[in-house]
Amino acid sequence: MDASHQFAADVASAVFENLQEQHQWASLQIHRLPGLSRPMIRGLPPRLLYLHPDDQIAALAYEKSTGTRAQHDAEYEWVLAVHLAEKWTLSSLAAVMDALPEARKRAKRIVLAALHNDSTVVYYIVQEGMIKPRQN
Amino acid sequence: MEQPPQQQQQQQLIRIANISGRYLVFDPDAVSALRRRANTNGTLVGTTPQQPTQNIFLGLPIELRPEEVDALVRAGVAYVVDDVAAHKSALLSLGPDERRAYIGSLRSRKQAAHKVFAEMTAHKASIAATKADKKKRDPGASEGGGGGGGGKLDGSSAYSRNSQVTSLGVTPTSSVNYVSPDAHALPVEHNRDSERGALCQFMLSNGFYMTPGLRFGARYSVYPGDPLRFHAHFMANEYGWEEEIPILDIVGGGRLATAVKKAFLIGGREPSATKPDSALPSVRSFSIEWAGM
Repeated sequence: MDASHQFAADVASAVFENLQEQHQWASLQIHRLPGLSRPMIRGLPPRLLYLHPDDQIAALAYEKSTGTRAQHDAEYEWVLAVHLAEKWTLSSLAAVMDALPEARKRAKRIVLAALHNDSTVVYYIVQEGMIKPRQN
Repeated sequence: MEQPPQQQQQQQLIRIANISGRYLVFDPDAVSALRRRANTNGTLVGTTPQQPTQNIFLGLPIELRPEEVDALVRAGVAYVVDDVAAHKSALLSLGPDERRAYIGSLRSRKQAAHKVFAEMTAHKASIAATKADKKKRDPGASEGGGGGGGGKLDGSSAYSRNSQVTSLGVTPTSSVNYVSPDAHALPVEHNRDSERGALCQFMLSNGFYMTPGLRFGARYSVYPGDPLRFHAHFMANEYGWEEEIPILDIVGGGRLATAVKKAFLIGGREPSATKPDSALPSVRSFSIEWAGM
């Protein structure tokens, strides 16, 4: 295993630990996808991480009409672990998106985990295409 | 551009003046057509000649970004004119007939302005007359001197009105009557390096409006419709396909965009996926939001 692979694996394992211990994700696994040199993490967050704004509106309408909250089960997420000092390109991001299996509904998405040297990890949702922002 | 601009009202091409490297549109009708038909707002950059330091409320002309102009020309909505050369040649080749025609057009505009002004003053006078009439019928509301004061006021305003009318001059805001609209049109540059501006072209052709995005730390603020009716949905930056994007920029842009209820959009042209039959570039984009954890 060369240096860059070792680096990617180390970053991924640090993010893995963070997801498991700090954010209580379940069923975490490190995947090696065909055609992708970086490892990907897949796991189940304790609650739904992302709800598309149209689904948000539908959930609110449901709550208004029935008086009960719409139930949304958590979904498995793909996590791409990167270091904050790295530089990515559109082509490398596109390669990650292309390696992922097709999403069940909506656009393909990954959770981008940026790791810093002080072990801080920040999480961003990256989606394919122009997806309008959530209403919060 | 080889063919002259079409004369139909609907399909009229928009004249963009290129003056010292800036792209400006002076004609108010062209500005509204750009906004209605080509979802392009531009930025108001004009001050008044009398008060050039007044720069809070700007007016015509609007300035367009180079990539916007490129997209508009490619879409067949507009054409670019070297305005300095057009004016210079129009001034130098001014024959007596053209001169007479130009002076005639100025005179007709002046007469039109006079007419509007006269209608306005007549309207004001009729309102004042009805007010004075009311006062006369209801003498208890005002003292006896009210009628005389009103007469004096009427006389002075009539005097000032007259002086204003005689000094009414017309400053043409555009030279459409003077410079032929398609003189010195610049050729469409098809062989331009088109990696830049592809995102702008893609968003314009998909009905998005863009305003300058600097106040949110990006290149464009992207609106799903007219900016007067919608909030921006995205802060967008264009990158080359192999251009390096620091992760810190994604983190910073994503965090700022989420804080103002937008998504951070990065995108660019994918060179390998070019469709030769399509005029539109194949653009790939990614929307980034803070995950909230």
